[in-house]
Amino acid sequence: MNLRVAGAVALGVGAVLAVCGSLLELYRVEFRFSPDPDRVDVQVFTAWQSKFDFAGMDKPESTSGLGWGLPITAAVVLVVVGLVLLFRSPLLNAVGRVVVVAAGGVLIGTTWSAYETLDRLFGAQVVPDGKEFVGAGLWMLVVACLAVAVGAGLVQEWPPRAPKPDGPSVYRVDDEDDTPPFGIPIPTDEIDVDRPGESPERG
Amino acid sequence: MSRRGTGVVLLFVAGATAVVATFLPLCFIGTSLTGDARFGFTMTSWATTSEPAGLAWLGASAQYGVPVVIAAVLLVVAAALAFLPEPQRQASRYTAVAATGLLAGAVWTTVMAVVAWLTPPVSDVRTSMEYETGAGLWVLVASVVVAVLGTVFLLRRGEVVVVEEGPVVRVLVDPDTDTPPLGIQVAVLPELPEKGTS
Repeated sequence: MNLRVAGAVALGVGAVLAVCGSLLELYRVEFRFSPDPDRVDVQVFTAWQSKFDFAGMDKPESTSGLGWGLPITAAVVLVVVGLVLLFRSPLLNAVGRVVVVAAGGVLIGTTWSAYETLDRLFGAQVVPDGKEFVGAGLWMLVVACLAVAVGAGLVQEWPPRAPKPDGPSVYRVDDEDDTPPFGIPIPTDEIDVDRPGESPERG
Repeated sequence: MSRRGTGVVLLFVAGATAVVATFLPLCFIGTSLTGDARFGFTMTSWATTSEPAGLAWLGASAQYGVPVVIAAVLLVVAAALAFLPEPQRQASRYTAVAATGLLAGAVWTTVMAVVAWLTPPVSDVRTSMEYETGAGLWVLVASVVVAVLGTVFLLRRGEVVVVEEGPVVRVLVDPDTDTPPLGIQVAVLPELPEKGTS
């Protein structure tokens, strides 16, 4: 398969995974405040909202959350714009190649910072007897980062390698007094060793 | 200064600014006491400190500085790569684009988290809690703007370099008088039988 098409497929997969990852659960913290061992308090973060399900509450409550959906969406939009540009004129293709690299950077930066926040700020150290789980959304975002990075690499126009010579390489040294590497030419034709004096070309 | 020189300087400034910003306060939560004294917590990209010192803080500090510093290092690397000869300078441009994207994503996420943290859970006029954004947040945003500018300056206007396909053959000297690379064929006589063997 054409490398550029393979890269475009990887970019598309990465964009879809990033959207799915931002909708799924990024991080879940479970802890127990109440003495009742069956009651578990749960706090779940997605990229768009954080949901609380505490033991004393009638139903889970959602707040607007940390708002990481916005940078993830921006990265996905960049990937899609870059994908569209890749299959246009050579100039737009050059722009698209740069755009997908920028999109990969934004997605990786967002996922990384999101992980830093969730792991350190809302990790198990916050409350005693707590458990933390990295959710499917965060894993999906990590895979999306990989897919976009690989895709952005594949769609680039890598500079061509210098062609490998088929035969022996001859290096000429500029020295007038020296014998040339393959000797001095003697004006003669190739001589057939079986029939001396006759040249094979001349029959 | 040339376009490239401006880009290199801007990228370097952006990297240095981003690293400095991680040590500046991102935000402050607390109350003002009489005079200049304050009671509360200041968060940087690496740690949370309290005023007065020694107050207990639940939870660890988010290490927002890690991706920011790595992006800053990549920005400086991109600035250094810009001094390569032109055919290899494309590496500098792509490094700059990727590093700027990384910085933008990391800073944007950090800003969103800090803003969410600063949104008061209970908006009651009777509480005297203060939620202040710190200088670090704005300096981080400024570093992203400078990085974007520097990357734009480093990019080249679309001249498409046409690379010839296949091996390139160059004739160095006059082909009429010169020995061809593999020489001219010389007659080889049949080997004579060695004397003394029978």
